[in-house]
Amino acid sequence: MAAMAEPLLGRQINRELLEAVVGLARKAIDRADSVGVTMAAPDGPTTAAATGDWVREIDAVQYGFADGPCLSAMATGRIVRAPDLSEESRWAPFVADAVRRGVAGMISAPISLPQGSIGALNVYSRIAGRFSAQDEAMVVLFADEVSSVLGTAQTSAAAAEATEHLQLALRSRETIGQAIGILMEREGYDAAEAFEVMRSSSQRSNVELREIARRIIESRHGAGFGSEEES
Amino acid sequence: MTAYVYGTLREAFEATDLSLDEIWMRYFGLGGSASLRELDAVLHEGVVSDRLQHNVLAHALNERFTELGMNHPAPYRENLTQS
Repeated sequence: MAAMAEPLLGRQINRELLEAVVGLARKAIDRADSVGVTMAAPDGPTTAAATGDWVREIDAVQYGFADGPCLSAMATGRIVRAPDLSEESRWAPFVADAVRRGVAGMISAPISLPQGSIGALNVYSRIAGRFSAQDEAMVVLFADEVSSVLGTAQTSAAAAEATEHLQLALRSRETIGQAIGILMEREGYDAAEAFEVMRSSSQRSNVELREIARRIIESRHGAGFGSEEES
Repeated sequence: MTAYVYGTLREAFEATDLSLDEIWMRYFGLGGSASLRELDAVLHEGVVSDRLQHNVLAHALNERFTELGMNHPAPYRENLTQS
């Protein structure tokens, strides 16, 4: 663990930022009941942010056994999937304890700086079953985002700004995703075609794509959007 | 109506004032699914194999160009192939 802790020495972890990120990650990842961030530290791994005490409890158990999915993700620098702990053969002592505490599935993605892994973003689910490709992608996205923010945002103002940008991006993403869903259902497009319709409309009208998406959602019960230019 | 100027997404990206983080955030906000690291790789290659992801990234770049007063100079997928 000492080797992993090194890149973090002298680096201030912005806890507010990490708390915001885990909160956003829980919202963005369908299967996530709770989310936490573990960071390497001189005294061993520590839970730097969590959506609740349940996470801190489970993490403490994992640190106690010095073995588990999160620590494996940190050690290997790779995503670690444990979708169904009742069928898990790795990390036996930790898994038995975690199951008793209500964890059914976990997924952990490493948080890395160029020097190596410095932590992991962990998702905990109370229901067993595989994580969708979308969920996995989001776990990696958020872990990468934390990596990037830790690598660059040194001041709390910069970190707060980064969080705000992430929140805006998530909101915009949700809006556009909903609009794509509406167009797919209503017009029979696939996702690429639905995006195409919105982005040509955005280009033609010089209106941002997320605003086009918002109009589609608002027009859901009205006349079809696909039926060309707004009158 | 194809006013695109840049031959690849990489050229377009390099012509913006955006950092990798910033373009990733914009791309993510438009529904992009590549991680920051994947996007870095993609920008080095200049082409994204998936049509939707290519166009999401092109549009993220173009929204920045639009803010700068330019008209969608980053190539969408159909600009690169016979449309």
